[in-house]
Amino acid sequence: MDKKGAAPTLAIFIIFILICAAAALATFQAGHQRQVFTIQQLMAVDVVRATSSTIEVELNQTLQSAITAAMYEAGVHPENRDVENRVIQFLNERIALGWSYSNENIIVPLCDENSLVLEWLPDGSMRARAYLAAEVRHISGVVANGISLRVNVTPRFERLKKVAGIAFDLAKASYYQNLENELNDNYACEGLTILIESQDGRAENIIVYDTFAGKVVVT
Amino acid sequence: MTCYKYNKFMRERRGVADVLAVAIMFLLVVLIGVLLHTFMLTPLRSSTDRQLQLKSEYIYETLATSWVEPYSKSYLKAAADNLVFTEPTISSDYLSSAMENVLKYLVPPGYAAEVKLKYENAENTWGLKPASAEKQFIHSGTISVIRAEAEVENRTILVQATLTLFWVG
Repeated sequence: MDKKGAAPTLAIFIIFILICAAAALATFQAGHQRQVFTIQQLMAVDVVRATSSTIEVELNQTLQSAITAAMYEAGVHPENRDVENRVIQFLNERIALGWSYSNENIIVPLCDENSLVLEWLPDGSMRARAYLAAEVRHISGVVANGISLRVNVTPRFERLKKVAGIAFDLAKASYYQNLENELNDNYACEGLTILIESQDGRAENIIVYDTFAGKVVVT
Repeated sequence: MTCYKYNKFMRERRGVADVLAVAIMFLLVVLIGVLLHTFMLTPLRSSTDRQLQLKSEYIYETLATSWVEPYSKSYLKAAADNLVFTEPTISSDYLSSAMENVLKYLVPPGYAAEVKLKYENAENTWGLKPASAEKQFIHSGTISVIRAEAEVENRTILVQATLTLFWVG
């Protein structure tokens, strides 16, 4: 009789094993899904952080490029020497073009004189600082907030403008002979080179080169 | 005799049931083992993908922020200038040499990287694309250059930069 009961016992045992296996499988599956979800969230965090960082680096370089371009334009257009508004305009033109990344929604607000601080340094160069309330949102819901800009631009526009003004005033006085050489000797220690373009014995243009930072024109 | 034959028949039937039960249990163990193995490997593969993603981002950011010595321009900015301007500050030969050197330094063994910059129809590529790769990950960005003395619509130049990291294995 004992041996006859072995088959039903085995059947019950197998059913028990099946139930235990199903429960174990469900537990492992849930654990696995949690692991995968965590990794996906971490990857989403990495993606938004990388995108935010990429935009931040690009905007820093754009701001640097914008300041140099604004100084150049201010130098060649004596009627409008407003560098600050040009910088804001150039940077906003880039921001307005926007960014396109798959699975991400990017909002970068335009900057203004309140969010972008432009400081003229004592040597005539410029420092810019800004904090933009940007938002980089991944479709999974992960968000990166804020972009910080911090740029120091080497061209010393204000100094060049000052030196050009001094040189122009001196050049107007006809008794100054060999003025160009004397000015170059005086300002060589600052890395400035001055070129006086004259017509009919009168100074027409003063061009000041900043040898440390490339070519900048101030007339 | 009759009773003996009957008992023998029953013992044979029980023997088949036992073998079947053991076989089913063995199959279950094998199946569960395979499933567990699969579940264990999936997060590992995802982690490998994440490592690849982080590496590509790291290399892109390094190229975007580090300078081409002795010039005060980043690698990607210098590459964009070379693509856009007719007379860039850094010559293309010098930039190519510097870019190849920095990629050799940054890319870990077993990996390969390709940097591609595109502006309108012009395109420049640095690095080496392997013939075959186990996996690859792309990190893309934009480099913008402000052109002075230009119309509003032409003032901002956008150069598309793409870094592809290949896992050769």
